[in-house]
Amino acid sequence: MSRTIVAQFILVFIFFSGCTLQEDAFSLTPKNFDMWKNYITPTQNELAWTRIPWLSSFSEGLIQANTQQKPVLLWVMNGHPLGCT
Amino acid sequence: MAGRRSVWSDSRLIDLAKQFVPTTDEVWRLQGAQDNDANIFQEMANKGHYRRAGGSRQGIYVCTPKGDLLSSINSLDADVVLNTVKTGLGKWHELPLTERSLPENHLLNAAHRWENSYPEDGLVLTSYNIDIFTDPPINEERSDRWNIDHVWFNKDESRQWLPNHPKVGDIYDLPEKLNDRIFRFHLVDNVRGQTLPFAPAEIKSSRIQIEIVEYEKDNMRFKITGSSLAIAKGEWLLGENDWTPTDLLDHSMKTNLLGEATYNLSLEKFIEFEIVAIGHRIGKTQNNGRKHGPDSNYVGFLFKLSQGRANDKIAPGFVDLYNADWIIHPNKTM
Repeated sequence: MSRTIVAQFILVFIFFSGCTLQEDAFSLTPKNFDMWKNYITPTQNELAWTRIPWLSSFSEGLIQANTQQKPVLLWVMNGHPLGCT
Repeated sequence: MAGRRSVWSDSRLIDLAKQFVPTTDEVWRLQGAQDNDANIFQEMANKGHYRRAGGSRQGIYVCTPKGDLLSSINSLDADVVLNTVKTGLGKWHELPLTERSLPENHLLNAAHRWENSYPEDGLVLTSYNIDIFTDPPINEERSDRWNIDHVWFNKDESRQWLPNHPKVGDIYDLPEKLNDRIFRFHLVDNVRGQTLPFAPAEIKSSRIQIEIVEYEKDNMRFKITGSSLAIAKGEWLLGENDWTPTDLLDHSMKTNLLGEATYNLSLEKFIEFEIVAIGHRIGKTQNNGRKHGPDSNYVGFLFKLSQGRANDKIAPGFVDLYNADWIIHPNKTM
């Protein structure tokens, strides 16, 4: 009888311990901070487009193109392509 | 921003770009302003892939230094863009030398650029954000869309991250104005495209708390925690401006954030800064690419010190609505 009670107590303890120790999904804690940071940081592949030495304004592009005697390759977006677009 | 991945990450285009002066810009000013560079752009765009004025002129253009159009396209297909760029290059090589230069003394100044307000000696952060679908996140299932933005605080605002007489053990709230800037303009759902900022009344709760944990050799080290709930439902509350939507609003963002930073008292600037935020978004805005669902999901944000390179000096997406009186606005009467 006492063994059954002890076993039941242990089961109840494990159940509630599990509930309280488990973090909510998508929570942010000092323990998982690096995991989220690393995931959010763009990968090298995602930053491949930055290997092109983009200038940040059309006027600067025209002036540089004139100096270097090269054509302009212009990429324009709603929102700056090098920022939030 | 899909073009970053599908077009400009293509090694053939990265290589081909060496034969050009690769240039970017924000199309809204170029297609509407009366500056010299904008006039050149508009004349060129009238001959390009979107000939009709009125809609967006975004896309890719190959042109001469005086703005003569050689080729143009708006496509997310690297093969299509490659062909267009090669066509433009071919035309360039056929041009007589006299057609390859700007006229002498040609002025290209823009009357106004938001980047002129870049706070050189302030706190400038680069933010990255991406959808999160699982916890823990699975790299192999990483979303193909992510975005960048920049966060600006001038020198005075940068110093306001500290109390007047900071000491280890101090715990305090970030001043409301700076708090507001982060939650209204930067913890927003722009992962898949430009979204809308929140109005002050739409921030239902928000708090950033700072604890000074260490002070050594002029370096003041903080822990940063915070949370927010922003709900936009119904009418647009930010007046008539470039962002005014045509539809009623129904979107929200709930966030938790955590971070660390170090401010150097002698240099009067931050030397380290990192905040991660996990947001739960619901709903969509007019142009933020959520039309095809899901209706809600988690979004991860990372804010870190910008490096001060040219690319880091691009203005924040919502700079025109920023709660900062030091931002220089265009003269509307011009």
